[in-house]
Amino acid sequence: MLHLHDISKRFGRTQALSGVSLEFPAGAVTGLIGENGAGKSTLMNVIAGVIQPDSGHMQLGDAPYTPHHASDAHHSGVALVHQELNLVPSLSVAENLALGAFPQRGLGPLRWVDRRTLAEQSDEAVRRVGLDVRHDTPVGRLSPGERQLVEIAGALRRRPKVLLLDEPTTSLTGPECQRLFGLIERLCGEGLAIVYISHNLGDVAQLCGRTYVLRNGTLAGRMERQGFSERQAITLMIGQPLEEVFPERSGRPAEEVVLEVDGLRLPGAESGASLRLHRGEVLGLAGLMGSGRTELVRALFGLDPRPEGRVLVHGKPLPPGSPRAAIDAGLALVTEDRRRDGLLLDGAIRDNVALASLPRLASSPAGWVSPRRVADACDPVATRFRVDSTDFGRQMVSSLSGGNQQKVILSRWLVTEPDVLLLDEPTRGVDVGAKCEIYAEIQRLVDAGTAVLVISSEMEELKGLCDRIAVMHRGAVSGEFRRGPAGYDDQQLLAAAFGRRNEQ
Amino acid sequence: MTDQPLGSAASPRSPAAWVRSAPPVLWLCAALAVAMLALQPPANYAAAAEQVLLATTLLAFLAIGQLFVVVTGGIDLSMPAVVSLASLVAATLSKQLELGVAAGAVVCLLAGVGAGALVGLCHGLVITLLRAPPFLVTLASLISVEGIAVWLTGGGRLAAEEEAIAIWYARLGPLPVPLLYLAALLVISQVTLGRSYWGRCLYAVGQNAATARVCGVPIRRTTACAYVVSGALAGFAGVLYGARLYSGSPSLVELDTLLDAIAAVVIGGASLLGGRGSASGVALGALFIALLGQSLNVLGLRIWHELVVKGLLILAAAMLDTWAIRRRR
Repeated sequence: MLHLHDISKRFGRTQALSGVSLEFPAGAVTGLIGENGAGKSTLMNVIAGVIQPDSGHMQLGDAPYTPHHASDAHHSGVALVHQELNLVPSLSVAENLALGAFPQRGLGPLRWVDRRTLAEQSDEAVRRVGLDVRHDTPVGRLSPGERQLVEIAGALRRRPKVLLLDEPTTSLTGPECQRLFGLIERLCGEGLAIVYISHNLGDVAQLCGRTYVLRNGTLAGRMERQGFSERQAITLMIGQPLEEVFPERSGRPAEEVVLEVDGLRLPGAESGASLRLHRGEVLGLAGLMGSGRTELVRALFGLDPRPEGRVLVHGKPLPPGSPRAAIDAGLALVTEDRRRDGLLLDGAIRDNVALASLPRLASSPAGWVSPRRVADACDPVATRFRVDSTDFGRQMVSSLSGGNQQKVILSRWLVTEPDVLLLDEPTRGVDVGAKCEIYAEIQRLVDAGTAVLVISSEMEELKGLCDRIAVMHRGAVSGEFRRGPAGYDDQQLLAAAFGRRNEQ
Repeated sequence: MTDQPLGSAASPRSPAAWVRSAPPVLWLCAALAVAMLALQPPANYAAAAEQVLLATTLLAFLAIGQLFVVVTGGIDLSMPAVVSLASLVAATLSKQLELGVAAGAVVCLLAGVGAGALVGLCHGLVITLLRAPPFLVTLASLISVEGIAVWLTGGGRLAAEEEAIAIWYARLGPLPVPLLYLAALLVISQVTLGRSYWGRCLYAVGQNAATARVCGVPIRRTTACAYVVSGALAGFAGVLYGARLYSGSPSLVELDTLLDAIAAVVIGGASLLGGRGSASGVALGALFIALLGQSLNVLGLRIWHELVVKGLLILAAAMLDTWAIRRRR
């Protein structure tokens, strides 16, 4: 369906793409993987008409395809679903879907929006992606997974021939992913050419007939579904074999309980959740979206109210509602959505790293913060973490890649020297290289005695990292599993996620 | 300097780099100063400079006060009313308390600043505890506090005990005392914003309050204190205005003084969305507005022509800053 021949593009001194030739056949899902900066986004923007290649040409069906503008791509039947959701939270589902092309009624120049057609069109589009939401629901009230589906519904309304999906599963839970994959396969059956761009190799393995691997703007290799191995994919992506994604655990967790959550009941939940976290232990927190994992962690950190239940750190009760008290007690929280409440995007890297430690770095009692003291405390951590920047004091966080932004947040909490590190989706939207570094850092911290709690929607990540996995269902812990000699039992984890109690 | 992330240690830079990174308002001020001097005989230079600097001082207190709340993403519209209130409180006390000149002067000043701080504290509490929008809270306060000021005086001008209050606007030999306040204000606010824990919290709140909260920044206290400082600085400006006129009055400054202050904040490189701006930049913004007023004055334009030109130049200055920031990104 879509053929790319010898596409090259240069930005200043960076050769973003050089001589890339790919083909995306109709009725098939083709994967496109590569580290951040490998040229995926550039390639996608070329296909979507946002930027023009310096050389090379494209062909859509039998005709040459030369989009000069994003709207050319729309008209030719090429639709792009961005990783960053492009929905207006305050508008309804129907309004978001119709943005730019509201159905209208009226006489002559006197026109108004045809509400009924709007609703019908919306219902139809939403049904097509298998979503069950009312057309007048504000998008801001939908879960990230539902928003992703609305976004796809919007792209499908123009009846495209080629659909590009950029990281569609980063914010989805397991079942939501499976629903999305079902949809993708159905669309494939309808004859669409689907381009699937992802960091999640498991998804790519499951979904894609053929997968192209980009590295440094060139095509590093391609893999067919039969011969796909994650190991080989990673090797192609980073250009060298990767020994182990998950580091081998060397120490054993201690007996000492560092964090104890006792009957913490979330608003709206029927029963409370209880957890114990030991020194030097990695505890995973699994569960479906909406099972209360994020809410539990936020409540225990003092960000959200906790009407019932106690939190003990080193045996001392932690007062509710105060993140400062939590930090002072030795807790650290890497939040789920780094743009929303993880970063000061317009702030310098160093300021972001220093933010949680400022009271400690300030001279008491006047509260003066010495820039040199801040630099001395923050820069070594960011350097050790290999945050990719030459000027921590001036470069803004917004100019960093997702992986480096996440490293900035982790550096921030390492500067506070926490006893308990709470990680909510620590590798979401992060490239493979940074992912490995984050895993290695977790390992190093655990060996040094830090207790780590990881929330993740990627089961492989939890199974690879954790000594124990607690599964949540409706705000309560519905099962706890210790790593056996053969790892974890998927069936049991899944059953617990759906609320069947079966303690191991 | 306005684009620099906060608290970054000053690293040695070449003069060329410094010129490139200097805020555009600096060049605008230089150009205006040259234009203003060119328009009049050399004999007037000293007097003109003094007038400009005095106008800058009064405006800088309002603008830098405004900056503290603007950095958090808020705004303080109550300033004209607070200026009036402070001048009235100071004038009343100078008359009624018989403390002698020195003690009287100190009491007047403290009472004026205190009244402003108190109004600011009310703003801060309402905004943080009731989660009311700053625009509305301070607008309501602008109206009500003005009402209180009229109520206190019955609507007229209130003469002050001249010596007790005028001391704040006196001269020290050839030097007008208010210039010392300007210097102190600049140093203290620059250091507070850039180098104190609270200052850094202000920027964090303005850039992303949710992130700041996760990192343990006391959002409410930080924000409320910004309004207290803004009120106190407006109160100080009120005492100065009062000292200049030996009186307090419910209509000491007009609304356009408030708008001048906000313009100075924006021209000086602060973002009304919060999280960005420096005291030195805003002081330059105030200088720009003062120079502009003086130049137009010297030109002898009609007031309506003057207003048109002033409006356009303020827009141009603000756009220049926006472009300069965009270019650096």
